[in-house]
Amino acid sequence: MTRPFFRFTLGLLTAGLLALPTWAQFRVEVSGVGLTQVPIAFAPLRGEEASPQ
Amino acid sequence: MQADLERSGQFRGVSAGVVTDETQRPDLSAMRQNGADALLTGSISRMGDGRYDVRVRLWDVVRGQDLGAMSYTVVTGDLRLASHRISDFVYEKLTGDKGVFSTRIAYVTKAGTRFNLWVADSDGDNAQSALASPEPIISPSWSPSGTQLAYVSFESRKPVVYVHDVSTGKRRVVANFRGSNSAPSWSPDGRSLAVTLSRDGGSQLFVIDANGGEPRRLTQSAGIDTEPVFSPDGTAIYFVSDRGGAPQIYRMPAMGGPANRVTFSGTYNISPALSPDGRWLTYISRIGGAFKLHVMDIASGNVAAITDTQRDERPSFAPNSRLIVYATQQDGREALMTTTLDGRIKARLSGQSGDLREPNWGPFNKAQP
Repeated sequence: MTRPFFRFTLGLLTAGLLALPTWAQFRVEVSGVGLTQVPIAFAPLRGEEASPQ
Repeated sequence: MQADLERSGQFRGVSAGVVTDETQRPDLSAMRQNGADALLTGSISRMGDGRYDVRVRLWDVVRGQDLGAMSYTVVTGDLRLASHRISDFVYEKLTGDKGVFSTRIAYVTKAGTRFNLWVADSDGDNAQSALASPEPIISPSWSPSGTQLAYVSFESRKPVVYVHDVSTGKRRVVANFRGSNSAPSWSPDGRSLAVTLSRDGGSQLFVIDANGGEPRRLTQSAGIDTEPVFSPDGTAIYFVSDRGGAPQIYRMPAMGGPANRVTFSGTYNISPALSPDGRWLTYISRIGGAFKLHVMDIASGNVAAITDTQRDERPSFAPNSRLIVYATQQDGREALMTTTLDGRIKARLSGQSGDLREPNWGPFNKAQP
C-alpha cells in the first residue's frame, strides 16, 4: 500500500519545520472553534532551517 | 507542535514575531501586545555524531514567568516523536492535563480486497502495518500497557480472537471456539479479556485469560450480549444486550451478576466506551436512519449528540479523557475523526488509498525517545 502524502489543510497551521509531517496514512483537517483557547506563540526554533523535518 | 496543540482544541496559534532562543529571556511585553498568553522558544542543532539536540522553553507571557524547559537528543527518525513530547509538555504545563500527542491509535484499512491493521501516531503520522490479510480484521483493542493489541481476524474464514505483540509482531490465538469469537476488551490489569462467544449457542459474554485457556461465562441471557468493556477501576463491565427487545447498554459487576440498563433514550444504542477518568460514556445511537456518536455524563446521565455525520462507529477515548476517536463516513468514504467531548473541535484523519475504520486509541506510552 502506498502511503499517501500527509498535509494540513488548515491555513493557519503554519508550524515550524520541526512539526511539519512528511508521509503518513492520514490527512488531517481541523474544524471548529473551542470556547476557551490559550493563545500561544511559537517562536521559530533557532537552527530549524538546517534540520530535516 | 503547533499543529498538535491546535488539534487539541485548547490552543490558538498567534504570531511570535522576532524572538530569541531558549537561552534568553524574550520581550514578554511585546508578546502580550501580540495577544499571546504563552510563548515557546527554542533551538535545534546537529551534533557531531549526527543526532539532533532539541531544546525548548515555555513562558507564561501574562505572569512573566518561565514555565520550564526541556530538551531531547534524538536521531533524525525520532525528531517527530521529540516534537510530540514537547507538545505534551506544553499541553500539560498550560492545561494541567497530560497531553496525548505521543500516544498511538490502531485502526484498520480496507483497500480493494486487502485489510491492514495499522498502528500510527495520534496525528496519523508514522503508520506501521501490524497485519495484512485478505479477510476482514475488526475490533482492535490496546492492552493497558500499550504493548499488545487484541483483535478479531477472519483469516481462517471465521472470527478468531488474537493477541498481537506490537513491537515483535508475534501473536497468539486467545479464543478459537466453535461458533463466533469476537469483541475482545482488556481488563485494566491486562491479565484477562472480556469476549463474546457463541460456543454455547447464542452470543454471550465470557472472560478469558490473556494467554487463552478455558473461558468463564459471565452472562446467561436469552438475547445477544456483546461489546463488553471494563470500567477503568475494573469493577464493572458495560456491554450491549437486546434482552429488553432492542439493543441497549447495560452495566454489571465484572464477575458477572445482575445487569442494570444504562441507556434509556432511543431504541438502538451500541458500541460503549468509557473514559479513563471514569466520568464519561460514549456510544453510538441510531436516530432515525442515522448512527450518531453520543456522550453521556455518567454521574448525571445527561447525554449529548456531538457530531453532524450519519454513520459514526466504534468510538474510544484518548488516554487523557479529553478527545474521542471514531470512524464515520464523509463524501462516501470511511474516515477517522477525533472530537473534543463537547463536539466543538474535530479533526478528520482521512486515508487517500482505501477506507479507514475500527479505530482504538492506545494508552499513555511511558517510553522516552
